[in-house]
Amino acid sequence: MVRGFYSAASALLAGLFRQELLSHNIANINLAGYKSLNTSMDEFEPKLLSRMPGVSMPGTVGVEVGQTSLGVAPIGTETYFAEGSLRDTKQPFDLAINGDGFFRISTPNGERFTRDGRFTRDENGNLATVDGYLLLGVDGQPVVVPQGETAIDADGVIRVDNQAGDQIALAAFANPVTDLQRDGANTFAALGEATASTAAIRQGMLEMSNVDASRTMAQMISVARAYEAAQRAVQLQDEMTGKAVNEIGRL
Amino acid sequence: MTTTALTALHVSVSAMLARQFEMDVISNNLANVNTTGYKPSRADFQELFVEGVPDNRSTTPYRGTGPGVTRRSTLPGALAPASSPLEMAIEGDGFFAVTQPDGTTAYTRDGRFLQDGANQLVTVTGQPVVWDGALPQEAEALHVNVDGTVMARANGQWTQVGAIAVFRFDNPGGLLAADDNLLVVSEASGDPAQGVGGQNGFGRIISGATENSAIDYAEEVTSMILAQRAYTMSIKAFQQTDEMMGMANRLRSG
Repeated sequence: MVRGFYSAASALLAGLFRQELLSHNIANINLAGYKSLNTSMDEFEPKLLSRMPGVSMPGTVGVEVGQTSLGVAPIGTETYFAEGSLRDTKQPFDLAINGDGFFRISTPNGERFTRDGRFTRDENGNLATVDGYLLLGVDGQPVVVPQGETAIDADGVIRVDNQAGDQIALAAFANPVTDLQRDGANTFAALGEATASTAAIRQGMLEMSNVDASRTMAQMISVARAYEAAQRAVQLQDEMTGKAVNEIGRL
Repeated sequence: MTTTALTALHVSVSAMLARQFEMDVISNNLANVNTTGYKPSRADFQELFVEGVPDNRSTTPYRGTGPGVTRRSTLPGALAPASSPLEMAIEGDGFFAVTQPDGTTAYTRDGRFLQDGANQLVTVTGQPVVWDGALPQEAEALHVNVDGTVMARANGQWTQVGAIAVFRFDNPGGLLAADDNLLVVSEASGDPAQGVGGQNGFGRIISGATENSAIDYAEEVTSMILAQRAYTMSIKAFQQTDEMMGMANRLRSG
């Protein structure tokens, strides 16, 4: 009977975990290039139940009665990499990637990857992210944009006053779900091999987050109901234990 | 990743604070729809995502959304005709420089200049424009050329009385807003470079015109609706986390 308590309690914890991730997705619903988080849940390893020795059925010790599950555990998060919709901002250093690919940026912790295209031309003429990290070019060095009328081609070549200059690099991964690890601040660290991407860069646009508002609200409702059910399950087990303790065997 | 009900609440709180700040920025843009030379700002937030649970004494949220930067657009506004030749606009890149009361220099694209009682060239709020020259006490006519040279006509003769320089920055979006529609240099903007209008990429000075506010009304209203919707969703998430905490509290009440 106590087993049931832990199964229900594990569902309560899992519910809270899912609720936090949904809240995190909502918090970043308007964030350019944001990729939503999903929870992956897994059952605890099912256990084989054996009959305990008892007086009513002598000789049945060790007879297996079947499997039981001990509840559910959040095993972590998974990033959903679907492309978000594009928003026209007209700002010259807002860049969106149309297709599979990531911007390569240089951070104090090493090279990171992002689809967040909110760049500014900083005081040194480099393109910098919101956090001030520099966008890398195909030569692996930060791109430099001289002052002037800037046009950025689909292949990443930066043209200032019609003079071709540095080329922005895009990296592609065979399977982003396994090749990339979330690293905070809308960036990913590479676990797998990065190859050159042939996706197109769109200047003056931003890729919006891929959080779907209606789906998220629906998921939140399902979290609430599952949580309620788990709470009832704990209470029922409590009542049953109460009866066993107080009523069975009352003289 | 470890979760507690409180961390889930913090995620929603960080989002609500972010959306409130975003609404402030949008409201400020909308309030300046008719401000000459105004450039709208945008609040850019950043994801906060830290695996694990921070130190107990930490008060900063570690998941959710956090402050990023506000940056000013550099898109031009439409030029509108003005009645005086001393009212001017910059077509292209650059700013006018103005001396503030404390002696420091500020920058603006609001070129509604006029001649004050002391024959100084000043802004609408009376702050002297940084330029090289002196306005004649009486002139039949004044004109400013695209390169910033100021011409005055006396007895039918045009003579140059000074020149207005144009200043530009590596990152004009990083200038900080000050009072009276002025901007001041910041670490992000870089230092100003002085140049001549219409040369080497510096914008041309257009006399007898002013630059309208560059705000895109539809864009601002769209951003406002998006911020409002996101705010509402975060409130819903907050309420639901709260209800879940309540349910956990009632576990034992039977």
